[in-house]
Amino acid sequence: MRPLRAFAFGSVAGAVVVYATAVTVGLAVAAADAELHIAIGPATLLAVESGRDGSAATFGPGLLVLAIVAGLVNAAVAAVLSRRVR
Amino acid sequence: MLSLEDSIALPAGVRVDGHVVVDDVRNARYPANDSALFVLRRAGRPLGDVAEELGRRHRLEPGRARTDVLTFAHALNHGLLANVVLRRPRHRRVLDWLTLAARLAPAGTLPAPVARRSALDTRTPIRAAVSVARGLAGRALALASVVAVIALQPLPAAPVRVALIAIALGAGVGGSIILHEAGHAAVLAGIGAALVLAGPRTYVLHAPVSPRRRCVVAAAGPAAACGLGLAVIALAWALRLPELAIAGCAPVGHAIGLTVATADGRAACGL
Repeated sequence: MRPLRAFAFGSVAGAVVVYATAVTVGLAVAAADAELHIAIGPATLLAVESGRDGSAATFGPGLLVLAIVAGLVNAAVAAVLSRRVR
Repeated sequence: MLSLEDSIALPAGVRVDGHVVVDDVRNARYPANDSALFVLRRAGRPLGDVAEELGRRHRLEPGRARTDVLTFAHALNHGLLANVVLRRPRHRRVLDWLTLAARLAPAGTLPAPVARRSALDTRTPIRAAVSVARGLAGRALALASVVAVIALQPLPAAPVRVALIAIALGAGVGGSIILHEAGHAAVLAGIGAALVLAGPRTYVLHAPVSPRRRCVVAAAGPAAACGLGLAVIALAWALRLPELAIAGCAPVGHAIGLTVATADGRAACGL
């Protein structure tokens, strides 16, 4: 139960931070009428494209991967800390 | 950092009952000897006067009596059983702090901060949040001002836009601190709680609760601040205002409080 809770809290924290950052960066880039594409390998994090009708932002699956990684790291560190406490 | 001009005061929720100091918030009792009771019963009087009286009573050297009283007052404050009423002017306190910090520098440490504990009204979640806001308003405003002034410097944009971003960022930082602690306090309805400001740290002290409720209380603080941040960012997205989104990033940063990197996160994860 404890590792699951640590994973859930870590994933939520990671998701909140990465999506909030992506939205803020996306808005700033769109406001500047610029374009941006950030990816980790094949997984797109954020893509902002500007055209005649305005800008379009895409939040890729890479953000979700980052959130899950944050959850896994949190669960792993929680397991290490838990052993130390015992 | 205490001086002989300062005095101690028992915060709400702490009382002396016979030979025991009772902390109603933590449901804790601490036995006190005659000398401790002597000092505690003279709360409100300058520590120098108390030391002089204690020295006369026990035929102690004045220097020893002063050291004993100051050490005991510091221990009480460190244990959150007494607040310190600072009577020296602010500039002298700053000067004394700098002098002591310079002396402690070779040891790689700083002077211990003076803790201040104030009672929280936890009868309802709203009352709890309001009492946190009252207790933290000054600190949040000061922090918001500092952040706004710092943010004014490096942002490369038109002056009005820079000012808007700086103000929004400052408001986000200040507001999120209040909301974080208010979140903890709001889910402590019916449980004794107190707000503690100790140096740069701010936290809610409360009675022991069940593991499940401990998890909820710990997660409620970061979640409340995060909720505000996400709402602000959603609004910024709808209105296409990047300045507003930047303001929302400060409260969203409190999400780190859900991870084991922080005390709240460790409590929430059951560690």
